[in-house]
Amino acid sequence: MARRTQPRLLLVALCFVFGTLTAATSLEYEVKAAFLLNFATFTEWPPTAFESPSSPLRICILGVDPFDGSLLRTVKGESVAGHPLVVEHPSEEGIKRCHVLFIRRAVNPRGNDLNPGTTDAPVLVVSESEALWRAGSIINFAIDGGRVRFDVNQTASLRGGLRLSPKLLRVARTVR
Amino acid sequence: MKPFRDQPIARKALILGVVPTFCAILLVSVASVTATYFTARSNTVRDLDAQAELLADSVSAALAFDDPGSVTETLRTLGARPNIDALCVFDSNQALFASHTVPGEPCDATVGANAPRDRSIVVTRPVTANGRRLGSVVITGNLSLLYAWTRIQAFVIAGALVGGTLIALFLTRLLQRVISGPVLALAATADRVTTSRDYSLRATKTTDDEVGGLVQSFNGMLDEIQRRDETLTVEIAERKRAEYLKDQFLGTVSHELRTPLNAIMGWLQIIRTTKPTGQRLARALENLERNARSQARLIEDLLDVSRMAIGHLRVSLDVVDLRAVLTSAIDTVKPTAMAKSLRLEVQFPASSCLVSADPDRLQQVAWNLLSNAVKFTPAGGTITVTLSATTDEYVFSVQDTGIGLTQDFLPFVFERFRQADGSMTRRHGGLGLGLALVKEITMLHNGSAHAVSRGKDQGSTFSVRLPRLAVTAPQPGANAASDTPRGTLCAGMRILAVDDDPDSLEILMTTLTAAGADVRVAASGDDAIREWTRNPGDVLVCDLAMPAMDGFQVLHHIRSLDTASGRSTAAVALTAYASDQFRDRCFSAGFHGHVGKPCDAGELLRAVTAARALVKSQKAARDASSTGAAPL
Repeated sequence: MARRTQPRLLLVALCFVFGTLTAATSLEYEVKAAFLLNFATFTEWPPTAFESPSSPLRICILGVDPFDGSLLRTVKGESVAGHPLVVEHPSEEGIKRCHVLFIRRAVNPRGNDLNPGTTDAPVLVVSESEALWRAGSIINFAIDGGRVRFDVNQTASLRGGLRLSPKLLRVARTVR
Repeated sequence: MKPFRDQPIARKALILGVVPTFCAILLVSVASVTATYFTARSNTVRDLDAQAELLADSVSAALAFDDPGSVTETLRTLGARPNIDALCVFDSNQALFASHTVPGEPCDATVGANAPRDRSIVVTRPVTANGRRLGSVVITGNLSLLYAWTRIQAFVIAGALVGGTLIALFLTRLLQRVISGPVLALAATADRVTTSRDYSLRATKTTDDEVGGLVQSFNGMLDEIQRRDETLTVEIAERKRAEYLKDQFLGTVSHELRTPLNAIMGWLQIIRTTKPTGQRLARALENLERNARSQARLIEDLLDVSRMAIGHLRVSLDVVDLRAVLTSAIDTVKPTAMAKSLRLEVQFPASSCLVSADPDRLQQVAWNLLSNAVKFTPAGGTITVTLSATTDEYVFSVQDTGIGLTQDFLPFVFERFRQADGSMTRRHGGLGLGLALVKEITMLHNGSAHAVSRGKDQGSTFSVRLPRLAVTAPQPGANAASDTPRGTLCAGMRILAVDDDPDSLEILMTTLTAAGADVRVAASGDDAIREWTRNPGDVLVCDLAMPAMDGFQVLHHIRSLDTASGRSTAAVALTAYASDQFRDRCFSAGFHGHVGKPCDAGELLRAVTAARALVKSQKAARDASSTGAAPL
């Protein structure tokens, strides 16, 4: 792993202050790409969520892809518990087959409500907006003090049969 | 410092007790400390491994989400443990992510896993989550606690070592007395015995082990030494007494020898000065002869005693009539007894009493007993001589009414040099040898001698028992001498007398002719051979010591002449040598008899007749065996 997947957060802060918006955005999503991989790492899906022990773990992006290829680079060659990671842009129907679903800030399907198809399915819903967080996403990104942090809604994860590692909870900013 | 071998036993025992104990405790201690150290060390390593495992697990999320702040508390908690020097967390790029170290301890990602360092242990663990490697943790643990603990243990063990050794020293000091005590006691006793020379001391046996055995052997040796010591003391006393008796005896001997010599000298002087004739001369000669005989008897007794002492007293056995021997002895003492007006009573059996004996020695026994009786019986007393026969013995006894014997002296009466006391020696002459000779001679004849007395002045009875001879055939021999008148003793015998000394030759001729023999003489060996060749005889009487040809050679020649002519000659040797060896030599050379010079007429005649009789009986036996009859 010669490539840097976890850039110094100080750099991110500096980018916010001195760099262009594009540059800052691109850095932010690079961090978030790495976080998405790590969320998958510290989460246990029920066995029924996979077709087979070696079937891929799908990370899905809902809405416009903000990662500019960085997510693909991050997960390339990685696997979690024997499942190779893949990045998908699912259709409406394909959402239920996702394991990690990242919902872009701009996307707001049905107002403040989440897609009801994902509520009881073993899908780790990751959002980056207060509205979706309130609507019941399991993990919600936040920028706090120039650093990318996240909150966890444990109750929501239990509905889908997901088991979040306590270590993940410990690193989270807040746990609901 | 003396080598161990030469140390006192007590110290050896002490060393033996303490040194092995010390070594054992030391060995156990070292082994224990070593084992404890390695166990503790491996425990520490395991502990650090577990810590690393725990740390790796708890920092995984923080590493994944780049949140060093969330592990600070964990690191501080773990790092507070005294055995941990540094906790370092590295990310997947080996860059330091978070750390907690004691001052001066750097975090270095390049050290190897579990690399051994002098006083610290480094444990490295990868941080993974769900198969993904997120970084690594490195824990540097120190062993100072282990060392401190080991040091404390070493101190405790050193204390135990000293204490244990002291206890061993104390116990060994107590116990070694059990071993060394008896040995030291024995050594002390041996030392005391050596210095005081008191062999009645004994070591005390306190144990039943080898030392006990040693004590027993030591006491056994002391017993033996003490016994020998006592025996030696007794022997020295006895030897002193014997020496005293011998000195006393020598005094007596010189006195006794001088007495007859004085008489002889006195009578010789009387003869020379008064030139007596007739009756007076006869009396003078008689006195001279008596004293000379007395002296000869003394000398003979002395020689016999000396032979007796070295076991050379021998007897040449012959068939002898005891009655005849006693009669002859009584005849000898009769004049003296009559002079003292003693009554002599004789009770003899009618027939002859034959015994196997040396006639001369038997005569000596009888004469000694009789002359003692005469000597110790005061005037007017009675002497009774009896001869009786039991089934296998003849008992000859001499009873007197004399001074008797005390019960104290009775057991020693037959001992050499013993006389009842000094005053008696003064009153009664004699050497005190007679009875010793009686006993010795009797024993040589397989007989026994006994003395009985009821006490002082109660008289005494001496008796001699001799075994009977089974044969009763009429026996020619020595007894003939006493039976037959001297004038006919040698009737019809042809005798050749040989002696280089003319005086002796004349005495021989006179004596033998007087006994009725046909006597020829030769003054040298050559003459004798010539004479014998011309005219052989029945008996040869030959001096042994002659110039040119001695008696043995003469006999040798005559025996060869005899062999040629088939005759047997009786031979009697004359010699001045009175030793038994010489006598034996005579017999082995072929002489039948032996007469000492100057020769007594009776002795000469007895020897001649005995020799002649012997030759005759041998001839008869030869004839008998040649005709098939059993020899006598």
